[in-house]
Amino acid sequence: MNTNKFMLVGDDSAFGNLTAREVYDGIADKPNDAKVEVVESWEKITWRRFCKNKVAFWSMVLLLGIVLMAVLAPVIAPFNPNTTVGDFDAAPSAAHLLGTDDVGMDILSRLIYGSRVSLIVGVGSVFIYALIGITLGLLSGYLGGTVDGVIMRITEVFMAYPHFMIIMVIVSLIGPNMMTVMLVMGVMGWPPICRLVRGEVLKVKSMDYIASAVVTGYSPYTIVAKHILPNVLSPILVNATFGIASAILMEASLSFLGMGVQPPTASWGNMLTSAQSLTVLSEEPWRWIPPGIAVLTAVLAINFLGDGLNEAIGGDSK
Amino acid sequence: MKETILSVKDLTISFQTLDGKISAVQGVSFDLKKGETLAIVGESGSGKSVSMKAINRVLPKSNTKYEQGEIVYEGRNLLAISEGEMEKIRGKKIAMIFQDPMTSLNPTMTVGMQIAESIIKHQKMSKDEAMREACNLMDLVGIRNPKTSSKNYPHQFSGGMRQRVMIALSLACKPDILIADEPTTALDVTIQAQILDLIDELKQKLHMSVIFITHDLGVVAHVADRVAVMYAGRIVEIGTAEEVFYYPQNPYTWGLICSMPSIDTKEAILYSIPGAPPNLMNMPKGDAFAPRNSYALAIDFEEKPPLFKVSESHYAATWLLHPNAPKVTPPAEILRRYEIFKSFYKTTEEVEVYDQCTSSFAG
Repeated sequence: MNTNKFMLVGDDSAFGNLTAREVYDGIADKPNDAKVEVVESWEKITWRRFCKNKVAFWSMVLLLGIVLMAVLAPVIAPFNPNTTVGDFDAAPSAAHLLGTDDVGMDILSRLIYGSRVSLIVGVGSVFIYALIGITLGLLSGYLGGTVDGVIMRITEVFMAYPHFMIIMVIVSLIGPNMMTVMLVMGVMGWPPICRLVRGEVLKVKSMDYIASAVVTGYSPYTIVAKHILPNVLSPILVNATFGIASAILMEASLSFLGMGVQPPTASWGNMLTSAQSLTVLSEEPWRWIPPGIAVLTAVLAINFLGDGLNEAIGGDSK
Repeated sequence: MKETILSVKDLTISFQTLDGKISAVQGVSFDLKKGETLAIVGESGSGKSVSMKAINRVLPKSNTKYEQGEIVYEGRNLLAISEGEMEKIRGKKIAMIFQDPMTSLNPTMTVGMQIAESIIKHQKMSKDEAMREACNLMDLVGIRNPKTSSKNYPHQFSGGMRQRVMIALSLACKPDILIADEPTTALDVTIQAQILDLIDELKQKLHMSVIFITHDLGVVAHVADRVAVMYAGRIVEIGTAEEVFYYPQNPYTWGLICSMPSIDTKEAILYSIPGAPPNLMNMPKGDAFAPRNSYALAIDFEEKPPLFKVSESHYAATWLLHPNAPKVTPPAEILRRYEIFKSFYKTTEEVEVYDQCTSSFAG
């Protein structure tokens, strides 16, 4: 049966009575029709890619847990966090799972309420500086020329000063509390994001689809809002995520130094203040280990989440 | 004679750069008639894209200088009106398609929305109506299942399909003039013909005038009614497609045609014009093409040739057409084309007009 080696095995009946043109069209049509079925938005694709990164995914779950804890603080906290509810300096027990501090306040309840401060300050300050930074960055990148020059010089002035010191000075002038810390960090933190946005705008501005938007007759406002902004959002999102982590750290540092959230209001940072004392550090670990771990996990989780987002959006992951 | 819809007069544009002034366009004039396709042909850097972008005024504002000239559309000089007025003309009256469909669509917006947005902006329709209109347009340009595909993002389309979307987008407001800036250069050869046919078909349906910018003479032959050849910022020859292809007068056009492969080409090595286009920063004195021109006359190095009239519709900028110029013999390929041209017009009276022209130049 070797005679059939060269037999035509393709189904030539498929061509039937069609002309070559019709056959060609038929072949040309198929991929298009096939493609039309797939309606998957950019968000869905990013989400799918993000979920493949297990560390990032579980970090997000952990963060959602922290957010839930902050929101439900009054429900889940066993005691009022800001008053004396037990013995001073009591080690963990059944009544006070994580012990009490030097004025007899419940550490667990303070830890739970402290998450509120960290999240509000973290998200709030990033929101403020992202708003300023994105606006100025868009203006600077899109308008160029003198506007760009002025905004960039201001940015450089802001970046040339030691950040932490300025914040400490301002906070001590206005008086330390959660709102001032958040506002000051928000107003001081915009230059990096402004530069980032400006760079992205310059990149996107030279793309053909912006030229195409111009020749379609859109106003500069529409072009910036609908065609440039959505295309520079991804790097901003990633940057903002990391920004939240550093804002939480900054708040903890300020509170640790007594320049942030003031007791009796609980914050992870001012709970750590107790660790300044050698006795507490060596003999009462329940007073500083829990807030320390809380800051560490929150910041690590946010950074992993940021990395995951970066990979999912950037498209250069394995 | 069809009525003129757009008239460019003596357009001169320069760019200010750190290295000095670049004269990109130097005194370009042409008329665009209603319903015709005008092809503008030239090498990279010949000023074809720059002069077309000037029509829509989308050149970078910071370093572009419109030295002189005007672009007249609907009785107004487009170079003199305000930016707000211009926004009403862009897209609605004069639309543009770009070279690379892969980068000309906004990647973060569904294609249907991109088309609809233009309709909402210019025709003041509601979003639903505009979306329906967008689907109609996508159907018109041959995209299947417009309802479903309008909800897709550009990356889900192939290059040819994206160019169809671009065309739908540019047609959204039924413009009078469509400027297509090398619309097929980035596409596969198999798709090119489809897109050219599509533009041609839509031109007929919507009664548009089309300006085609290209460096591909094959494309020109396919679509153009009239052809303008540009070199170093000037129009060196302009005429109907037949005239430019079969009765070319400018040695540069000869060079372009000879360097185009055809089924009849017998030589093993394809002709190419020697040398490179001149640096637009310091243009040589006289005819910019003279250094590369094997038919160059002494005067070419002294003085720029004006446009000589070959026929009512055909002009060429070469001193060879001057009554005192010596009679030269064009390359064999061009002579072959002259024969075709003559046989083509033998039955019409036009041939006499052309013969008169040649004889007067020869004498």
